[in-house]
Amino acid sequence: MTTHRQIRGLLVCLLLTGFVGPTRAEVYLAHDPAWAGYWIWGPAKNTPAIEIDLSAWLRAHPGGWGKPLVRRILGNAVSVGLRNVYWDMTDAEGRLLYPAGDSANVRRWGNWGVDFGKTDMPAVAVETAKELHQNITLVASKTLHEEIRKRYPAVKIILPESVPQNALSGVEITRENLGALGKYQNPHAQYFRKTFDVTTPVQSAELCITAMQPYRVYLDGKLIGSDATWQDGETYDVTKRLVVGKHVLAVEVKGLKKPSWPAGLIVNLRWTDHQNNTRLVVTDPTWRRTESLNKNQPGWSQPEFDDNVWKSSVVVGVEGTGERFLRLGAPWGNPRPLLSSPTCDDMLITDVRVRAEKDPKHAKALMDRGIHDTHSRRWSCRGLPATIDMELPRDELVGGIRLYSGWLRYTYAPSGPGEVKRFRLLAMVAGTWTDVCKEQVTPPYRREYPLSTYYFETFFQPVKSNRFRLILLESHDAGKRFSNLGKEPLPAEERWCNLREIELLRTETP
Amino acid sequence: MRLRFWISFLMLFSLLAGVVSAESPRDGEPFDWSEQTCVIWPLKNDAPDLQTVISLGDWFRLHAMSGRPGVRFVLNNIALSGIRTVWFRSVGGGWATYPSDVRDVTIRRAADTAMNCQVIDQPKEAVAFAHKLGMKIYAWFPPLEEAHAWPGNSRSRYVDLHRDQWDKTIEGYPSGMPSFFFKQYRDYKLAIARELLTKYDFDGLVLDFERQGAPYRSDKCGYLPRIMDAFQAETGKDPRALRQDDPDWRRFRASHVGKFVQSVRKMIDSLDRPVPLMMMYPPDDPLTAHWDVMEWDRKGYFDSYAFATHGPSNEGWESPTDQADRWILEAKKLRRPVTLIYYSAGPKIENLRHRIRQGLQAGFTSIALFESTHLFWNRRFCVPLSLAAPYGAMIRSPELDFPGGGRIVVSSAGKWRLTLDAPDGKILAQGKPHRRDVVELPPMKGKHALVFTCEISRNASTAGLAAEGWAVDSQGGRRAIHTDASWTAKGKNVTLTTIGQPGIPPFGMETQVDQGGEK
Repeated sequence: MTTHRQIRGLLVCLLLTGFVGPTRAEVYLAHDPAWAGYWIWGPAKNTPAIEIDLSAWLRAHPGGWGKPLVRRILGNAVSVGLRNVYWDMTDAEGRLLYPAGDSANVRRWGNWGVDFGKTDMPAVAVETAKELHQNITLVASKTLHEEIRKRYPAVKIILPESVPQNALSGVEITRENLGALGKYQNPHAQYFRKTFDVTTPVQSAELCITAMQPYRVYLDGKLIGSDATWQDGETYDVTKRLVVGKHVLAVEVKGLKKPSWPAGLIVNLRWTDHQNNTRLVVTDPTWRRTESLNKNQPGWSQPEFDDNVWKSSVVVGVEGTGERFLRLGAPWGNPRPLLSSPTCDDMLITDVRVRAEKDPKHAKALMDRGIHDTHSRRWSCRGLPATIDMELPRDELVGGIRLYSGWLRYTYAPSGPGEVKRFRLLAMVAGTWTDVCKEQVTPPYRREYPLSTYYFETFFQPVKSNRFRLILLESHDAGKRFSNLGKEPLPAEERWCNLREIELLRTETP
Repeated sequence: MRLRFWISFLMLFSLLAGVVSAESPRDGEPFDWSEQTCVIWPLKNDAPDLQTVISLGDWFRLHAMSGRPGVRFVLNNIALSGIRTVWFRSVGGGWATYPSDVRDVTIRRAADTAMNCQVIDQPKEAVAFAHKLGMKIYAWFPPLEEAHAWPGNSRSRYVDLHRDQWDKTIEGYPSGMPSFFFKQYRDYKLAIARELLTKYDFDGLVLDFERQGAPYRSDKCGYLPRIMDAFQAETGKDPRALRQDDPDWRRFRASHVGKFVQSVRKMIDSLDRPVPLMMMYPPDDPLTAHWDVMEWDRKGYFDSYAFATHGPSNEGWESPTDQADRWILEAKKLRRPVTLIYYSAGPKIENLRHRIRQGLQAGFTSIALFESTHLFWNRRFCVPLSLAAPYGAMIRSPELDFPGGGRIVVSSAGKWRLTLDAPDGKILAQGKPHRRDVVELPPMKGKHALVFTCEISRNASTAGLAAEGWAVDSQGGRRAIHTDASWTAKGKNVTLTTIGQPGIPPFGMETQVDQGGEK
């Protein structure tokens, strides 16, 4: 006893003096969750249950184990709306799949390193299901119920014959099957609202957001941003918009074109007040949601809108647990420009038709996917000049253009070789193509975080038209691939030019 | 005549009865392969030195393969294809994939999937298991912090903390990576290399220069004023007036990386157990701003090289070239042996086989196959297997004494037949591939060997035979039987080798692993 006390005393002493273990600062771990909160969506209807026999799963898809595996399986399930989980406590051969008293009958494959007697997989599953808001039920024969109840007291246990007949086999919950399982989820566009209060003056505020489908996010009814890809979160500096008082974040997310892809939205709004307190608003089930927006109520994104009849959101993931959410990048460091000003609701015109003389195939892709940023190439052409025609649904008073080109994601990389260098913008006015601004020369992007630039914008005398023509005259490309390695630059007609996003800016209403 | 017919019939029947005595284990009977049992198979003595790579990040993407089961699953399947050397990705981008103690290193972790390389020590598992299988395992370390799989997101903490050491591009932009011009950066990289070789029992170290961060991908780097001034002071020439691929200017910049390589060489030489140091680089660029192969070869920094050869751009960057004749000429310029790398993701099986054959005909004796996930999921392990091992084998146990009979469980990658090394030599049992069968051994007088005649199909991805059980001696006691290194294989120019362990899918598991198509 004395020895124990001495050791404990020594440990306390060492802890106090900081000599035990590495400090947090010395152990720097990558990929700490950059995103807080949940992925949310609307509830799916008539989804089947899933029954997971982990022993069978492992034999069909070997190599995983422990928490990473359970989080992957259940994360994949919830990402396509599967919420009712039946977890088998024995496998088809009657082996026990939990650390049971009768250890001789516990499933283990020693050479492989899989031992259900040492790792409590049902406990991991129960914990994960709770986090993902799934309903989990343990499945076992009657003789095992008493022991299982003692071990997992808060979890419902049923007999194998009570598992719903139409339950999917857990073996199907794999990366490859996610497309097919997508049919179970809610395919409709969703509208979300979150009301919150800012009680003290804000020093800085960042809104980070991404969704599995194209979204538009509004703060107090003003359009903040829009994007069509999920891999990178967008960051918006909303410091100036977040004054003391009541606010509403509202997000419109498009529905699934075809039900073969997980749906979801994640939002993190962080702000620091003048006392350096950090506040956070994140997506969770408290967000109000509807998928049947009344067209006669256009003010759904406004603070005064009554969302009492809207429903709660449902959790469809926690970042990292499911396949589609696994490699989500951290919110992009460089804030994007906001898409509205305090006096103008919506400066963005997105629904344009695009036609390019060269490489029309890619131009079509640009249109189909929306003209939004991504970490991958959206439209590119080899050979300049190239022309992109944009057709708006109606005449608009356009007074500016913003071009995103090159690599957006590398905050530290040198300028991308295919960035636009010179361009012209024309508008169809009275049946003729007319220059709306003089030829523009864009400098290479500056890549010096946090001062990086990644788009070029210019404003001009507003012109009213529904047809605009962008002529790309020259890119910053000088050769092939990463570098021309000292060789002579290629002629312009052989160079590449990339475009990731075009924003035509409507002039502000008087 | 009729009696003779019936005698023959009964003999045949008894033979068949013996054959069907190989039966699957009874339902409900627990069985787990012993740790002592090995999967054995003869390997060709004149097979090329076959190597492959493990990036657990790639495997994790599939079914969250990680930890001990993940490491063992991957290694076992590699080993069963006859490959005897693996490179284990120890640093991905700038992130250590092991619990590193190097200051300012970043350890890979995805907290919400519980994939945490600080907690799950995968290299430890990998080294231990590879050695158990008799394989060599090298630490694979790209010092230029390549980021192809994790764009913009995999820099080490050191890089973020030392922006003052960031190189600049020819356009004057920060490259996002420190320069090896700075000793502190070289020491940081050296500390990682040292840790890999002292913390783990790796059999070698591969410095991969082919993988580079985007800003490093050219001679555009090295335009930090301090570096340019140093060059000017040494040579009297202004780099700004030179082409970026000027040989002297390239050599000068590469010399700083060379100092790092030299320090790694010294470190390895000072170890109690020096291990080979390999350099991987694209052979069409022996001199760049980041390496100077001929100079380093002359100084003897490396024990061997690996050529990362890519095909023409329209074939995809991961495609191997058909230019082995050209690469052998490059290899002959070096004083040390060269491994030729082939990429498995692009070409079909036949193309891959054809290309490797070309490489061997050109004179390469060492082949490294990249993208082991594609080797497995697309059944391309049949390619190394065809080079490493015969399709048929006669495998013999040591002499056993089983007057009281015995019982063994058998599993094989192909069809098998068991006879006893006895005068009548009758077939005791036979079985099909990838099952687990039980064979009752009849009581026999004297010592006898078990003789397995095995055959694997031409498109098989794995070879091997495993058996375990017991023989009953005259006192009724049981003596264990295991396939292990004490067994022998009949055949010219082959050596029986312990190439894997049973009880790791799919071997000996009575289960079909989903293993078809691109993943």
